[in-house]
Amino acid sequence: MILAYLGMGLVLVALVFAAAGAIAGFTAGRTESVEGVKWARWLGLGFCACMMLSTITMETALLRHDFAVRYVAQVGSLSTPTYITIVSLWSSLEGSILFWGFVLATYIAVTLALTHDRKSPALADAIATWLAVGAFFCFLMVGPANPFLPLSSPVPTDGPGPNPLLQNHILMVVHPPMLYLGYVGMTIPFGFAVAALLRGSLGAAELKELRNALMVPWGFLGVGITLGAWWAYEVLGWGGYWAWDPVENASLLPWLTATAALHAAMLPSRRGTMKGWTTILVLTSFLLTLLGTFMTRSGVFNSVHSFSQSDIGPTFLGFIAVVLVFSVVLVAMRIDRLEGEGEGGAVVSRESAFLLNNLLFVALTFTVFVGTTYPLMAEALRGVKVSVGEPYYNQMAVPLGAAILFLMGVGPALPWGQPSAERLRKLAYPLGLGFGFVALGWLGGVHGGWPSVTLFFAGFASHVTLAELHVAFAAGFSRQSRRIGGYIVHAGIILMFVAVAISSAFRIDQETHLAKGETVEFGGYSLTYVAAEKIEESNRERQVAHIDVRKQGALVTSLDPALNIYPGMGAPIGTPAVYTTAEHDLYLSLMSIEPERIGVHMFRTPLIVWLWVGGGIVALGTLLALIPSRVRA
Amino acid sequence: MKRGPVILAVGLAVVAGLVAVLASGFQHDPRSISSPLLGKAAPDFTLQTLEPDASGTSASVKLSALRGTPVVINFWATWCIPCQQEHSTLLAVSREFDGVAKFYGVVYQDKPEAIDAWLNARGRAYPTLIDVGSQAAIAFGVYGVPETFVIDKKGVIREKFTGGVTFEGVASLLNTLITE
Amino acid sequence: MVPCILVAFALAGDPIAPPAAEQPVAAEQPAAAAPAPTEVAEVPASSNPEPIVGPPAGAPLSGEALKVATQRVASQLRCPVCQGLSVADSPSESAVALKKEVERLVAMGYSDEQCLLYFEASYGEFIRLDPRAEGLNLVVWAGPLGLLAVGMGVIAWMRLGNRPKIASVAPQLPAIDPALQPYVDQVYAAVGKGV
Repeated sequence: MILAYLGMGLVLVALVFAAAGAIAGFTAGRTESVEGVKWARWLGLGFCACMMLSTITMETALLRHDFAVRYVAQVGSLSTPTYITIVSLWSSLEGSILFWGFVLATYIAVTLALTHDRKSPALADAIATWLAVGAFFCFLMVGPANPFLPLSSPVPTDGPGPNPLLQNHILMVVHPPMLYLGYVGMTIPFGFAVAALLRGSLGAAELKELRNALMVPWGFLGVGITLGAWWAYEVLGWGGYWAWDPVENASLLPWLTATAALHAAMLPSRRGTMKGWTTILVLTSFLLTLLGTFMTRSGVFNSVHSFSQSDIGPTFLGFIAVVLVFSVVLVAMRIDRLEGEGEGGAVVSRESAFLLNNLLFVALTFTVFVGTTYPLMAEALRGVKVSVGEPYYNQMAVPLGAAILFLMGVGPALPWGQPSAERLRKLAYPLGLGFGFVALGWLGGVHGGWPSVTLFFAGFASHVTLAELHVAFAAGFSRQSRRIGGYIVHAGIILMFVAVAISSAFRIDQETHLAKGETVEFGGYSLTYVAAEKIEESNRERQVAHIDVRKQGALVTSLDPALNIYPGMGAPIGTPAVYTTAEHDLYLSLMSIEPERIGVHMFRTPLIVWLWVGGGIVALGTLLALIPSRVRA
Repeated sequence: MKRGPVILAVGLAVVAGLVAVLASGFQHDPRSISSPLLGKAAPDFTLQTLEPDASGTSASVKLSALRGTPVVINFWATWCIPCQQEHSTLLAVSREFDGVAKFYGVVYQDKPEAIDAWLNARGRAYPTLIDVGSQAAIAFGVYGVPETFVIDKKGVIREKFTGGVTFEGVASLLNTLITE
Repeated sequence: MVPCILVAFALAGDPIAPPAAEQPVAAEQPAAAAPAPTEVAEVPASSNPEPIVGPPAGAPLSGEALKVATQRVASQLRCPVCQGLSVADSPSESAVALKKEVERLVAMGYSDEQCLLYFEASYGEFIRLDPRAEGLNLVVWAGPLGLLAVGMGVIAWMRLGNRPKIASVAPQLPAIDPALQPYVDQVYAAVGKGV
């Protein structure tokens, strides 16, 4: 009970700090008062401290199983392992809003620390924007999504535990925080972009700051999306990893616009153009993170992940509307001042490639956005429920993705300004590697269609990327870390493209039933159902099937797919078993299990492991790109 | 060239449209899908009852042979929690309209033993039909359980309830249908 | 059967379906230890699609052709109990039953569109994963293409156009799709320089 009041008090104080800091910051921005900047900074730190302390309070309540706090009674359970109790902070609506506040506080605190020596009014505007967002989330916690509501009725002795999906796989412990770091982190570049628009200027230093601030959440978002896909693959048992669900799309949208923004931001630093456009993309990315949160929580979208019982939807939509109007007005007032002078370059030049890149990313974003929101529009205007699913995205998004891959090869091969004939002739090498990839694929059974197109573009882009990396390393890592990081990201993305294209086109699957001791031939393997086993764990019961996997008579591995039963939850949750090789994955998902007989769905998916490896390479490249270059290019 | 006013006008129009579309979502339950079969003749099915009849074997029920009486078809399963909650309501309504309307539970993807145990624990008042291979569920376009269809004397589907039914909802409709 | 909690992944913090009790329509499948879906002992008299979609448009299919066509149609049907997964992808029992029905129709020679129409007649348009390209649905199909086309035009204009000339033309621009406004802005930005 004490903890409930303590947490609530801390959130209230955080709200006061955030609101006061926002007002102080905006005032300082208008009056250009150095004293005001200092005030905004201190109030911001106060907000961060209170937010962090209230999160610690919640964690304490969770760990002490203080069921007098309603949230703890809702998601806690004495039988839940400790590490899951810790992460059940974000297993339900109120706690996840609190965690959102905690992440925002961490971002603001770190950014304030990194900018501690600056007292510019632009920084005051940025701080004010961050704190205004923070104030909104505090308001949510004081109002419709209060995590610290005390439980008035008799305090229960035990709770149901968090949702079994959260408990079922270790990735679920890592994946949500990554996405959070991506979503919430967009607030920081948003603040910088708002500050730039308010002041009507975006200098070289501010641009660099904006880009770095954008790259951090962009990187986390990418990792979060990849981990989410991996989690879906490892847990959901249908052999796939991406179903174009509204909630998945919601996380992809800001990633796409932020990617566009990262590329757009390279033009002003080179040419002085596109500053306004870059800020528009940053504002859009932030708005899309809000929209994504709305999709997840409003209960408006047809997704298992939405909290239909929550009533923060209208409040959240109101906030989105306010930020939208604010952004539009701001852009309309300042765009003419922000767009600087610039050189255009030739038609076939890297500038053109950047413009096309931005167009393709915007078109892809728009495609996913329209596909995701159209069902709402159809229901409102036609009164009919419609679905927009995978076949639509396959037809619309795949060609756009291929075009982006193409540009990833062509763009960096083109020089800034005027291309020389010799430079264009050199494109023969990447073209050769493109055809080489296609030929290699042909030998492996990839005969035409989008997979071959993807291989061609991937070969082309690989050559260009490796050549650029070679040049950059020759110039010295410490001088070129940003460029090297960027191209390593490209290399990872190319790998992911290839993995997605090949794995989705050449996956084979088969459902079968096996009696004990029976063997089935599948995809070059002999699978024998050896035995079933029941394992009692503190929070669940696992029913495991042991299956021996042989290749040409030799035992290669034993796979143990399982169905897990959580007390109090109706449906069992499967844990597929995967045998991974560089060439393909053998993936077994249990449909049913009895001692004498199992139903199993078998998948063989080529190259899928490279999707996760590619994601890792992208993360590595992002880290390298964030290392400050010793000599500024 | 001033772009500001253009951006302002167009941007605000887009914002208004977007917010309106998102807000419209609050008025719809994403899980309730209206059936195109409303107002149309119910698809016919012939299913076996779970309960044996007088002769000791399970009887066969043909939907189209029931014309002349309103029929309530409740799709359910033992593993569905809302089904448990609405079961007592359905029992009460079926007793209220005993003789003037027919009630059938259609079990959807389940095992006979589990169904029997479930009904023994919660009571039964009307026949249970076993939907082998989900044929009836597909013909009725069932998205999940429970879903309840109310059919009038002429065999036309008049209402579809998604999720647990209420006593008043079913009773008031049946009162209309029996007097038609 | 495998539980049908199939939506692939979760946004941070709520990887979660609301507890089954709070869902109006439970999407779960039977308990784990249930035996393999009871193989259909006796297939009941199946409904006849002919009154709804007319006689089969093609010849009856079998073997590999049947398998391919079934897969193709199933991948365009939404699994009724899942979230956005197709009948082809979903392991749920409902999806398996629908897939059998698809196979039956395809084997009789019904075309893809006839199959989809047949299911649409009982499930509604929601069952199609691919919105039919007509009426308001065109927004989904034409919207991105239109944006792409106009965007290409704007970029071409920016790159190829003679700047002072554009400047004189620009003010007469008709209102364009607002999503393209940024591109228009780029044009103006480029123009501004020469003016």
